Amino acid sequence: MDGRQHYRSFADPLASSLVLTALDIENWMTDLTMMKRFPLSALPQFAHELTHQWCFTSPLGYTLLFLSFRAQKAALMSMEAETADERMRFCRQCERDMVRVQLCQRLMQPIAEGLAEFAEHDAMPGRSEIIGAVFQSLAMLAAGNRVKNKRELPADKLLDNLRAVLLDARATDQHIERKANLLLEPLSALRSPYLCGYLTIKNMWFWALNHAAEHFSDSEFLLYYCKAFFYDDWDWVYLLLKRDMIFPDLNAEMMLDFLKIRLEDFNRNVSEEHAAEFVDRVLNRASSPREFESSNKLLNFSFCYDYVRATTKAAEAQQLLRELVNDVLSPESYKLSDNLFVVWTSLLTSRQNITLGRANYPADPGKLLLVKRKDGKPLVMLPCKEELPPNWNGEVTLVSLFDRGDLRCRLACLAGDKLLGVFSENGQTEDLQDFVRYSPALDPAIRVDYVRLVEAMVREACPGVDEAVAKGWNHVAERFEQMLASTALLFAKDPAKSFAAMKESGFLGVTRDLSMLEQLAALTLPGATIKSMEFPGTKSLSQLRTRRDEILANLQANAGYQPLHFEDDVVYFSFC
Amino acid sequence: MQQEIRYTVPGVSKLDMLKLKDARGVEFAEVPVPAGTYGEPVLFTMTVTLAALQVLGAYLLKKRTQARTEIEIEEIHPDGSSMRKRIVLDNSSQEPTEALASVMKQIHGR
Repeated sequence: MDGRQHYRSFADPLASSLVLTALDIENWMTDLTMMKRFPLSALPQFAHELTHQWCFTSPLGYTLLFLSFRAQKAALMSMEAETADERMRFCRQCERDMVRVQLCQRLMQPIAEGLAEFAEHDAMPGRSEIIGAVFQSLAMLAAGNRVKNKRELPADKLLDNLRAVLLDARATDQHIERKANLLLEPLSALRSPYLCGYLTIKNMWFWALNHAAEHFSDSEFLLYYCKAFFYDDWDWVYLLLKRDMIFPDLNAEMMLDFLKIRLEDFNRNVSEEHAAEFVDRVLNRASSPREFESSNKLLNFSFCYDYVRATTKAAEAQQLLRELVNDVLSPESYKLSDNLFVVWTSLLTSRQNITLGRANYPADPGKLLLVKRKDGKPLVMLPCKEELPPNWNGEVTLVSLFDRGDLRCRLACLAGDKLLGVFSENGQTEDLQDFVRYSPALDPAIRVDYVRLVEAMVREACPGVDEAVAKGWNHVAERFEQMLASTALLFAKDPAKSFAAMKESGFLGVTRDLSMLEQLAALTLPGATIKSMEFPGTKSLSQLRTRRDEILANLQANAGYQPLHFEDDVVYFSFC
Repeated sequence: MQQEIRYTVPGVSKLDMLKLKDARGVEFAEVPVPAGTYGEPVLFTMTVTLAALQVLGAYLLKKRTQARTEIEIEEIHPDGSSMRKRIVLDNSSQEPTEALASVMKQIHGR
């Protein structure tokens, strides 16, 4: 198949790109962009990838981004160095930054995937006063799914509507299959970040429910709280920017110790009081600042760090990040490479825009550009102000964009590389200025390519990077696996036995039967209780439940597990 | 060089892979994600020979949903050339045997 096409969804932490495979974009282009409806089958997957994006736009996410920019700058400076000593000095700087970026990303990957899987399968907005960016976006995108005209939906019904849409989306065969796939992932963090991360977050939720049920009975609140807890964490930033260890193994050890303490902190400190404090911060009712702005004004974002850590290194960490941003986005960097500088600023400014998808269509020129489906039927007419290029091949690319800032969709129209117009959901033409400068960045795959290209340049200039990262990683890998195993199996009666059973193939090592694993997946999806699946060929829920006792007996015999509790026929296992 | 026509379909789940991996004429390869990115859990590309066409047909049929669905497959010829086909999975009131016949016709033309 086409090498440029992707068949597995992903999000890129540095390019902040997102590629969704569940979206049949060619057929959904106009519905999506006019925000009429969002395809049900793609909604959980979108929640997953959007959660990654959300985590990338945080103090930790931006710190990693700017550390990697600084590593790129050092690599370039090493290439231009006049003496061997100078070259070595820049290479060492590049290595140290890359080691920190890559080790931190690896160590945080189970948390990142755990949050994303939780958003996909579990999180449901409840009665909390606050709602995170992911489910806010979903509420807007799915506003038209259950009504003919979304304008008929009053603002106070948006969340009710989203809850109903999420229940529908999670009760489909495709979704049960996605959950089953998650349960099939190896539990070992060295083999896969998904299951160990998901179970860790799920256990945090159960723990929080036991200690602060008033707030955490809203599972979406848990997602918001955890995102802030792990990613809006200025102590992480401080550690990455201040503790500049020369030896990669020491760097790795320090980071692992930090993560371990953070995981313990969560369980030790979660309470109604801290949750209420968090709500106050989000609603700006607390006195401490929650906006960051670099002194050159090129980076600004909001954050809501948690109560426990708020008094530690936040001020120093913010100053260190300001210095880092100034160093990277300086006139000296522009002089060094204006191309790279443009890539950096493009990656920075395009973080707010999510490309939902892009597809090519034939079009007829005219006062209004008539874009057609492949079968020749009209799709949309666009009042493009820009002229078509002279060598135009009769085809245009439509790009569906979602802006996380104003929660609106836009449609960009390109002929080759030339941007012809950008239109809002109600057909208004947008100012092209912001989009023209960064039009290549409208393609998320190109953004990822940029990042990989620059990373290749870094490796060529400083060939010791991979070796240094490997050295650091190998030093902590075994302890990292043990740590995640213990957080993932927090409630297991016999963690060693459970880990042995699940290390290689997840819950298949427990159920030892694929159909039973599929049923386990269905039984643990909250949505599955509400929706009856009557489509021919699907298993009815009553059928699925017939083997519940058998499944439970197997789980207990093979891994020593007990279900935590039952509610409305959904089994809340202490682990899945 | 392969001597017969093969068909590939991407995005096959691990669950389906485990169910189908022992069928004759069926192979799986893991779908990669770009290095350094956070991908979704593992998916596979399934390649079937003509002898295993029924497996592909049954797999596609299982992907029917309440809405009309289209799945893209690729037909690879012995000379290395290839052709993409969009298989329409229509949720009409078709019986499973009729629906399978319709899918098989779209894949192979008969």
